[in-house]
Amino acid sequence: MSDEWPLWSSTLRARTAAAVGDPVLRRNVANAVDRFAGGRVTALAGLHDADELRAAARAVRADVIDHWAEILGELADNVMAGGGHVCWAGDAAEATAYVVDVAGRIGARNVVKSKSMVTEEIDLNHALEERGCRVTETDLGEWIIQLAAEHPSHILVPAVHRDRHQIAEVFDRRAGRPDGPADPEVLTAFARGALRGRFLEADLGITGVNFAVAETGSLVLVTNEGNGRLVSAVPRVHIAVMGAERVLRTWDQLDLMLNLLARSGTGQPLSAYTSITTGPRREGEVDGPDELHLVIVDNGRSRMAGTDMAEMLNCIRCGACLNVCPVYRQTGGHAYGWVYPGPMGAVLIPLLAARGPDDARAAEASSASTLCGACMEACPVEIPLQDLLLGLRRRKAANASARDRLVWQAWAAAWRRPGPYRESNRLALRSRRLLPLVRHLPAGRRWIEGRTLPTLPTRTFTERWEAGDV
Amino acid sequence: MSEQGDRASFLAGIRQRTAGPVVAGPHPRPAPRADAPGVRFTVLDGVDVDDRGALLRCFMTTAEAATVAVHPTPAATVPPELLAGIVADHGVGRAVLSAESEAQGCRGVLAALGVAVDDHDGAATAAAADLGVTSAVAAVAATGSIVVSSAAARGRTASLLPRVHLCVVPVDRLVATPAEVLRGRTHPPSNLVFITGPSRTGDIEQVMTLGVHGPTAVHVIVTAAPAPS
Repeated sequence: MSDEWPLWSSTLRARTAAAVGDPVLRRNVANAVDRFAGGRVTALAGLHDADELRAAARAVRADVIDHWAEILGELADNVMAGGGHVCWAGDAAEATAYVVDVAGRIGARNVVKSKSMVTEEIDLNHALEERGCRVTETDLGEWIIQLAAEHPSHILVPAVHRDRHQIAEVFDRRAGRPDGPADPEVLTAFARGALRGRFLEADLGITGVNFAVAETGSLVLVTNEGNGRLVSAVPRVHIAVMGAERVLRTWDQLDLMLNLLARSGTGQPLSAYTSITTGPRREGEVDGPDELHLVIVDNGRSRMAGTDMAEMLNCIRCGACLNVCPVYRQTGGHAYGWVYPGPMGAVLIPLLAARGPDDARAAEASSASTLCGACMEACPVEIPLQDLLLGLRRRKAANASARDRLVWQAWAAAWRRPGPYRESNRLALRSRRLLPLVRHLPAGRRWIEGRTLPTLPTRTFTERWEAGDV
Repeated sequence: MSEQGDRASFLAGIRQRTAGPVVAGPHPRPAPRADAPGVRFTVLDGVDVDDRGALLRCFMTTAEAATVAVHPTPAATVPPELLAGIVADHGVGRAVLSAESEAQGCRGVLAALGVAVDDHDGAATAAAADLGVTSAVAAVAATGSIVVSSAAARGRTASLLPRVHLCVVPVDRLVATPAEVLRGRTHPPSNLVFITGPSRTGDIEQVMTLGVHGPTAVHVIVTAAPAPS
């Protein structure tokens, strides 16, 4: 796993502070998530009983994970029956080694990719570049990120934190564009021209997988730009890299999931291209790859099964939870520090990125949430993200010092009884004039920075209630 | 067909972890179910799905919402003036035809308009064309999608590489929902694609821009269409 991710070199607090201090980021992220979140509501209103469909989708995913091994085996058998190759990759190293091997065997020089978060997770681009391949990301946002040598900040729109002027500068400086206007249409047309040749000369195409359907060994790829179709149709060899949980049993289940996926993510009934591939090019067909490889990646996923985190395996990576999250809206994705941002990222980072059970850097991601529950309300498969985040915080607290533990236990014990609860409130209000002094305590200053101190009332709620004032 | 890596231990690890009881949280998960309920679309409310004219009207609404130009014609083949309009509007000098008879049927008219016409024989030919002509195995009223099969088209890129995509689809291939294409499939083609509008991106400041990699425009000619009532 790459050391380059900010997760390993900074604290959540430092990353959050950097993000909220960037006005361009905040404007762009807020604009994007508001648009997506509004679109989601409108799009789901186009389905009757959308909430019942979400509950059904949760139940379908539960069934798939209950029979996960059996369904994955069926998928692999059917991919091979259809003429594809399968690699079982237990971790990132096994997955990248397989892809690098294939690239070496076919003598690949030019690799094109469509956006895939699991390939970010296994740091595939670096592994291929070390072997002398030129790797080109072809999703517009992902290409911008690649040129700028930074990380994606949203799983659907990787460059959401940048504005048109910054993007124009990236193209002018890094992509050989003669200084041109910072106009989205002009910038997009430049990208089309620059990337078209890359598609046509590529000898290896690498995609992710949105869903795999076990009963026929079919791989589903959803994009708006069409780059996923080009990557999987033009080069001689196509490698699809799939998180092991992204499997469904049947096409009936696929119908349900596809109708929820784009509506939840971008607010479209369907994305522009929902491409379902079953095997390589067949006899009599004029294009499509001669070889199809499916790399099934575990990389920590199976550890979630059978635990209180198992429902995270239901995630279909639609992006809805990012778009409704009040924390993501303020910070964007980089503050989370790793591949997956937003509420789903706050759960996945401690589970997938952690280097051992005591990895405090990974564990603190679960703090990047207000636990408001908006994410579960938006999730098309109803993952109770706030429950999972609380569970992760409980795990983190297991490493707390004896002193911390004693303080919190004493507080909990006191406030469990009405007498001490009331007395402590009364005492706090009586000493309210001391509140501004909090800023002179090291921990207190950190808390007060960026916040306005409240004006406290003179009497507690209980006192006002007893006096009949409320 | 090869298999690499250790399938047995990969799956044994999963089997072992999924064998135990399910851990219940504050929002206990529902009873697992393998069947997926059907999806009902508000846009189909009051539409008689056995009435081709009604389905066509619905398809026109949803497809146009996805920036697709729909041209219904009562004729069984593509009317020359319709094709002439598309060629003129987009400045088409070269076209590529995929293998379906509906696409092949456009050859004569295109040639008569002075358009150089190639059969689709690979990505290079498709990339050189301004216009790609295909048919569709279905057009979906609920979503405005056309569904192109690599088995019928004998390829994947004629609908993708040219900057304009024209799809000729007989009215009897209109279906109400994606389910009619997806559900119960047993022998899918090597590629089946739901195309719902032109290639698009909002990656720069959410400004919707068409034609980032694929077509900037999609036209659908629905042949043998019932006269509007």
